[in-house]
Amino acid sequence: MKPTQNNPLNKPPPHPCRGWVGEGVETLSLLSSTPILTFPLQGGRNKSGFNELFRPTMAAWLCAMGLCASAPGALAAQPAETAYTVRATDLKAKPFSDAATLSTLPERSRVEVLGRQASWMQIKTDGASGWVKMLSLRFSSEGAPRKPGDTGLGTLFNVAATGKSGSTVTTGVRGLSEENLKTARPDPEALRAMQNYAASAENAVGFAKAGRLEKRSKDYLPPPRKGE
Amino acid sequence: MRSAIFLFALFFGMAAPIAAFDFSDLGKALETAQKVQQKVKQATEDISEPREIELGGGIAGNLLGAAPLLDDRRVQRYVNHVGRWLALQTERPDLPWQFGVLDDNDINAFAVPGGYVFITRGLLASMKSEAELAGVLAHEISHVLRKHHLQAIKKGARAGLVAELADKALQQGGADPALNKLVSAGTEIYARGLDKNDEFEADRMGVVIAARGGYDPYGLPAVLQTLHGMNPQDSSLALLFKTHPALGERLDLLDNLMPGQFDDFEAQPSLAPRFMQAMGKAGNNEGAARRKTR
Repeated sequence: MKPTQNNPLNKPPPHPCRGWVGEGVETLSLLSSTPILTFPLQGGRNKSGFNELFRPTMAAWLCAMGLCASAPGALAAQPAETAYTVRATDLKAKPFSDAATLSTLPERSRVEVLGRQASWMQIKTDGASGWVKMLSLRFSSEGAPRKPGDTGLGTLFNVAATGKSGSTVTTGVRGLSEENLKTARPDPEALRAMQNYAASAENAVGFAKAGRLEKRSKDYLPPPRKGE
Repeated sequence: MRSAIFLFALFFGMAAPIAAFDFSDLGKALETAQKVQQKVKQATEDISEPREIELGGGIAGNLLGAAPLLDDRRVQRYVNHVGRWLALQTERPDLPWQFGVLDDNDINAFAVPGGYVFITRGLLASMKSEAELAGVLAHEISHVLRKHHLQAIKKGARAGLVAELADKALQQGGADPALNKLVSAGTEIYARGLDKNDEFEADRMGVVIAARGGYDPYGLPAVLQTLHGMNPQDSSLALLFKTHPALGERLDLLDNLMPGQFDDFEAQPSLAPRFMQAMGKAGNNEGAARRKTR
């Protein structure tokens, strides 16, 4: 499953001074006009061949998600999206509870995820493929069996983590950092702009109709009982 | 409430021996105590809807001061349509709901009292379908429905301040120190986060609201799952991680809750193509360029 790579919000930045790297970098490049200044902030890393302007952690992650196409010069091989089962899980032939069970995957099985359909994930694992319940999977490397030489996501994450300096500079930069939220000054003009984007109830109903969304009734769910 | 009872006891205890036979004084003391009690009660229960909206507008203005709106009408309108449709499926359909995409790479979303909801460009960019967007917006809408932030503001502020806000009639212009203080206090909650049970409740309600809107109800868990797979060191997740319970824990709770509950909703659409189409122009950063020249 790599539909995120089609999400056009993930397009590579058209100009090195703007785009994915964020507000902080934008502001800095205004100050110096040399994007190279962003290096100390971003952990000073360019030997791996990632687009220098991507934050290394983000770049590694995007590559892990199969988005290397958007980072020129990045890893050529694109690992599929890897997930791990958090419990023993039935592998079904089709995305239905009453479909034939092909096998049972043990806890911490490594699988490749191909796509989702409602509560089901289509997966591939050691020669077998089929459907498992999506919530029996976690994409986090937490679920991964830790062993040396594992070339999966975990390795990429480690590379990314060591490439990061850990320092962040937020002073004088707009953005959603804790400090900025504490010292934010109101922007009434933006508030008015936001109001102009609001949709009426009538518009919303038309929009739902166009998407063939049908209203259903369903009660809220109670909190889980203790011990469950 | 407790302080009111304490005050009452204090008044009663002092007034009684000094003017043991003067019932008019006692009556006054009682009256005062009752008024205090009433005021405190009001403060914890009733911030009127107009006052909630006014307070929310102040907080929303501050959040927009921290991160600008994405300058892309198509994306903004799209998100507003999805959000408003979902809000119509709830117990507060008539709030002046407004949804805003913040032009920020951070991965986050915020709900503000009175019906303001924000989502970052970074979070939108990690999504794959309209059902995922719906799941996240429905989570935020739930915070507004249950007044989670309003309660957090009340909890943090001194009682008199909230009472002052609750008492005061809406006024056009002019200084309103109580409002201003509560807006500042309210804005800081976004750096601190809510009680984690509020987050779990919003998850539980969010999947239901998305299902009511006709969406594939698994959009919210799908987003949580995607974020769970991201590098936890990524700075774009730092604030989300600081202000929310662990993604693994949230997924575990939905995993406990959802099976069997949404079997009749499995065939509902996720509208991935419409989502991708709507996002089409948002990645070109023209907005950022325009904003700078403004």
